[in-house]
Amino acid sequence: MPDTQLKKLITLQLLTLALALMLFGCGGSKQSNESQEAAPPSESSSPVAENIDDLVAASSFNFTSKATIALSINITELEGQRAHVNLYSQYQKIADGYYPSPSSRVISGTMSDGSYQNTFINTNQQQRYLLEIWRYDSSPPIQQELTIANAKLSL
Amino acid sequence: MKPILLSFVKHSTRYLLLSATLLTLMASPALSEPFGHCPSKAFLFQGTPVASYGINLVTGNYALIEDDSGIDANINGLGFNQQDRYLYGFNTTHFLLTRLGGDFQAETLNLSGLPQNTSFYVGDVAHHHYYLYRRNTGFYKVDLSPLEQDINAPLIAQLITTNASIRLTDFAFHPNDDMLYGVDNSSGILYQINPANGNQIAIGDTGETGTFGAMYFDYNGYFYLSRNQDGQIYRIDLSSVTSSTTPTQLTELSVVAVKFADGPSSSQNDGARCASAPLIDEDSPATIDFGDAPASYHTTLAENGARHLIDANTYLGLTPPDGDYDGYTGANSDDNTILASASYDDEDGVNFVTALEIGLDSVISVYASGSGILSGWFDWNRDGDFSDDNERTINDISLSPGFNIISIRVPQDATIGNSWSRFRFSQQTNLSYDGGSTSGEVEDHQIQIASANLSYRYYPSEAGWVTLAYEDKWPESEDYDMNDVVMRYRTIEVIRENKVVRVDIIGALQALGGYHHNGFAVQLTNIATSNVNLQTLRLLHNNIEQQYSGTNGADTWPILESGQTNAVLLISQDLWSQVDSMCTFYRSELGCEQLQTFTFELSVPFITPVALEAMPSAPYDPFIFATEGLYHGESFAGHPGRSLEIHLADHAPTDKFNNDYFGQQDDTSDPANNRYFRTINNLPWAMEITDQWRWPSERKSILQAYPKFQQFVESQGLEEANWYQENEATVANLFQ
Repeated sequence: MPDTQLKKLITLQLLTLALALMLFGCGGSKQSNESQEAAPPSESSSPVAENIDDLVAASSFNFTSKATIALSINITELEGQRAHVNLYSQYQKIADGYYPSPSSRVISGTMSDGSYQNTFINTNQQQRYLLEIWRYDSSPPIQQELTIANAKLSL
Repeated sequence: MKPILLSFVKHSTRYLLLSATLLTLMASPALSEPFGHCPSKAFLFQGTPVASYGINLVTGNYALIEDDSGIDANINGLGFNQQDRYLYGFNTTHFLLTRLGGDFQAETLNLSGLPQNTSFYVGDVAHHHYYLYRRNTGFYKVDLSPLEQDINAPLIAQLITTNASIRLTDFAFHPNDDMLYGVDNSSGILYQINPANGNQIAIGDTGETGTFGAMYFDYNGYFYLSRNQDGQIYRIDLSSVTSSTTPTQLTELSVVAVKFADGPSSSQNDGARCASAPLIDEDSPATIDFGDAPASYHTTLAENGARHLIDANTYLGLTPPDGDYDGYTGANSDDNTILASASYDDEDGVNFVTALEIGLDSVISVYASGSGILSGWFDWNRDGDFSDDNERTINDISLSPGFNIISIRVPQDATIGNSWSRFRFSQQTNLSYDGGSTSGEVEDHQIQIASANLSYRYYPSEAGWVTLAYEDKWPESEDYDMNDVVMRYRTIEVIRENKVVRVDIIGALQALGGYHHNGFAVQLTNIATSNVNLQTLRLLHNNIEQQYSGTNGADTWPILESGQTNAVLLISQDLWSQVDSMCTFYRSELGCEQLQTFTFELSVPFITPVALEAMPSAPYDPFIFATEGLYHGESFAGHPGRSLEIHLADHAPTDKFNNDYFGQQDDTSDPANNRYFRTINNLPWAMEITDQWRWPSERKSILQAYPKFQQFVESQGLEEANWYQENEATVANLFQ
């Protein structure tokens, strides 16, 4: 398409310009505007951010709040039955029980003799999860909201 | 355009009144105003006195617009005149030419030249001429231009030909070749009729017969037939026809009529439509729900995709679906698009609460808003369609409001792997996996067909995303807008007996905010290259299987990289080659919103399953690397290519990396102490944000966009853990 070709041509020209700036030791086209960027944006009333060059992180910090959580389920009543575990991070309480968001499922696993163990990553310091256990006899699921304690979810 | 008039004889007694009423009819007291625009809706006209209906061809929904046209007569053979935006038709009760304005009030026109006491039921308009057709009588045209000056101007019908042998009840002008098309009711043959001379070409058999009282075109050149007897709307693909299409090419077309929607039945029908209007009006709020499976499953309108007119009562999940203007092809792709910016995750009513294990029963939990009918299709053999014999697995089940537990049996001959399912909930029965529906919702869901006893571990969740953000000037620290490469990313681990048998990695490129060309790859640390099963390794780009991670002329790059100790999966050699940006950069500058166009899906099966405790932690080691043969900044003497990689902080590079680069410029990596890709202030060049994330716009630092990032970093993540959320951002400094 002509428009696309034009954009590519413009991109190519800008690339050439950027290359020329680099050859003259300007440190790249984006850096050439760095001094202007130190000023807070005039359209924002947010607090003035510290310059990124002044920000110091701990040498071991990985820039997330992730944590590994152990899930441990043991239900003796389900021994010998076929059953399936689901763990959700998002759900809501409705009249019929909990309504889990399927897209928030963290674990989907087959129970073995009423038992299930696994680990998962808690990405956002979430404290509570919804556990569902389904049997295959068309009965409603067992639903239980679990709270993390000592990096574990247990039932 | 036109129908069949079973009540014609009954009305013949009124002929005696014709001369007495003619003058009265012509003396319309007030002029009807034309339509304000070229409407996307089709119109259907029924009965005596004529009633006007608006019909949504996409779904088959229809509604009465006006049951009083101001005259006690049937009007038939209607066509929309794009020149003056009136509907023209033939008053079959009094044998008069008539037009309807935007208020659907009839005005009688002063026409002569037609046979006396003869009704015409077939008509359409093009280029300011009204064309009429009657079998065994003739084919006529009327110049409408005199009406521009005077509504009472004399109009004269001109005979084109007396050769009129096709058994038509309507015809319509194709918007691209200005020819008339109609289907013979008895034979089902589609004809082209030349309006200049009446010459006919029998194009082919549509496979359908009946009284097709209403025929329409849309602006893409699709031809629609509405059958009076059962109201079914069929579509014939004439979109490839242009004014240069030869008769031979025409007769080589497949013109099989495909069931499109269920509309109203009638003993008397005529249809008219502004053919230059799109079928769905994008200037109006979207009211139709589409699925989002790949196109081969019939998802888009062009593929006669499954679609439902949204109503307030029939949907799956807790909230009604959002409207779409067309189907989006790809998992959850209709949830966040520019074309439907108000979209949200509406695939929320169907929950696969157990695994789909071959030969065994599985349980699906479906939440219904109210009573309705559910059908479900599963692509068990993973051939990209729902049309195989056993794939309609749920067949017109009645649902009750609230949770419904449904058991299905996975066929013994189902194929292991990722596939798709489709659920349609409606007040209608007998829906297909494609076509329109007058109510309800369609939900498309990716599925995993598995052997028994598998578990799945999702990161961050089954349909959630983390965001990977890269600065690509390493070893030079730069503007820190963290948008040189922005990728949404999730992983799925398939586990049997506490060992991972397969890893799936799914991503969607969000932005490219830098000039440099970068590839994207994932290193599976501590998993040997030799443990990846090359026979079943699979990489999809935009749902299309790839043989290589990139090509350049005769050069090809594999998906599993050779010469590596750890398994390194190459996803793309050059992300810039995957997009076509409307701006200098891709989705990073203000005002440069455009659709996201690159997704990938990587499936990595292991020859020897990997114990859970030996698996690297998700997201593993996703990194960018320099595209071969291209400049990547003044830090490098030549083109670094695969020797340059940029990883998350403290993730060691692969064997292809040139360790001599460490310690240059702003980099303070110290491999001896497992320190990688950090500045003197310990800041990284790549970050993982554990959610969907709106990245900073061009040259706005992450601190300018997200001021609380500072406190988050300085507290080592103990404070302001939600720093990346939109409500914590200086929105003016974000992209979009």
